Amino acid sequence: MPYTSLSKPLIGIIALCLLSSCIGLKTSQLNAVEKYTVVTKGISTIPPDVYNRVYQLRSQTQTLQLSGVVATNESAKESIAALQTDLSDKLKFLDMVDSFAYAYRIVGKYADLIHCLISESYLKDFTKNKREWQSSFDGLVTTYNAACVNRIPQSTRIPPSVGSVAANIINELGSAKIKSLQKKYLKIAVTTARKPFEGICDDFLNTDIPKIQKELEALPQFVNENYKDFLNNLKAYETKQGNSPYNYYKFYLPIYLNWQVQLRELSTLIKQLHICILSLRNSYGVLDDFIGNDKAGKDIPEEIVQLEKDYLSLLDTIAKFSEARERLFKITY
Amino acid sequence: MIPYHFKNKLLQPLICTAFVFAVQSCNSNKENAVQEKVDDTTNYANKTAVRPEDVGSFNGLPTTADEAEKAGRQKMILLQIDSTYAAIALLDDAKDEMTATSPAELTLSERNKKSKAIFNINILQNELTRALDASILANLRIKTDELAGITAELEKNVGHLQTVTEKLNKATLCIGRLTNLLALGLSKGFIKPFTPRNSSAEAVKATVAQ
Repeated sequence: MPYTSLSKPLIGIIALCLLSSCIGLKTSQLNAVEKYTVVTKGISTIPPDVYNRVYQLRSQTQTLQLSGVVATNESAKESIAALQTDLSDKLKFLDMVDSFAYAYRIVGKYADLIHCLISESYLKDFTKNKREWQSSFDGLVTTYNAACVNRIPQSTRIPPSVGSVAANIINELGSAKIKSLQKKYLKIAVTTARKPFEGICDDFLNTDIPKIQKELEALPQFVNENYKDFLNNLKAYETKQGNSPYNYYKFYLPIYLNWQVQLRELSTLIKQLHICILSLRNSYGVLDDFIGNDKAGKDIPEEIVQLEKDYLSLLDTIAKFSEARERLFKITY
Repeated sequence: MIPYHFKNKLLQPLICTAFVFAVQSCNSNKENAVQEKVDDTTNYANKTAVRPEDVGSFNGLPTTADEAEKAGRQKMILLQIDSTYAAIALLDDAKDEMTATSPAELTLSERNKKSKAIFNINILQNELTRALDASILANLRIKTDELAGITAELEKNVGHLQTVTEKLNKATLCIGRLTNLLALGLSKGFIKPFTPRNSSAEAVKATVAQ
């Protein structure tokens, strides 16, 4: 009798413990993951855009300066050679932008996958294209890892575990329910990607940001020197050959103004992107710990709330660019 | 006694059934879940499941040696970036000197030589901005040689721009030193991963060593 009366509550307690361990993530944990993935996906498109803006400025001013070379050349053959050099240089810039984009595209795609473990509607859409997603993701990872191997010495690759987790999730999408997928994969999907994700962010913070900041310091002079050479040739065209350069000025002065606007936008964008990536990097560990904590509170960690604020501020700044540009051009012309 | 036995006999199987049911339906063993699905994948050669020890290795505190290595690496990266942009600034100074000359003082041919020089310097500057990538370091050596050619050309043909050549010679020397610095960074692996290039690592290394 005493034994029987003791065993009942004991079994009951064990059963309750087991049941409680089987309960999925709390709402606060799911919300934290959703916020994080949305922000990550959004931010992942911006670093390549920053590089694109930098190279766009370099490229455009170079082409304007080149017009002075073509205008003063006596040989058309030389002009064609210079135009070919210019084109080849532009293509190298585009290669560089693509090159930078790889790591961020992987991050964005992985955020997509994790997001579909959180949102029913997102999952529905994602499932329709899951095979294309996997093929694209695998391709990006393979290319990125091949680049890492080519370094001397080799750089850290994206571990196969990331691909394995992704492949497992993809295989079950469409057949398993979202709650079951969450329980089974969400935590592991976040934890597995932590090291490569933090590595990509560190790369941006330690290498890209110092380089872009230096680039930003150098760009105004680059722009001005090219424009000065163009104006010198235009002046000679005007004074020595008795032409009216009015139409040239009418066309080219707004171009200079536009470059100045681009420089300002770039400067603002870089400052805010720096803050966002730093916030993204620092809150990944917080997210990982938060969703791994069985006793997680009902509030989302402050770091993730701050990350969302930083991201919204970045989006707001970008949205204001076109409005500011429009106002400036209106008062100028 | 009857009610007790009734309760006892009914409750125990009930709890056991709930227990078994809960464990089966729970499916919360993440580690096993991933391992059992790993074999379905075909895209990854190494189909190992993630284990806590894989994840935990980077969570540990970095050792002093690690920190020192990281700091050294970061210092080298910043040195490379600073040196690259110092060389770019020198070239911009030379361009400034060229564009300061009034166009009225220059003949058409001289303006052409000057604009061509500026254009080629632009190309070299762009090469410099990309030079932190290993595979194009070899190009930088070629472009530096071209800069020496531009300088000689200006010296020979553009009488009004003699002072520029001094600045260009200084820039050429600076870029020569920079290329060596970048090559050192490359040999130590202080370069971030980029898209794979056509040339192999050995080929890049060999070209840079030339």
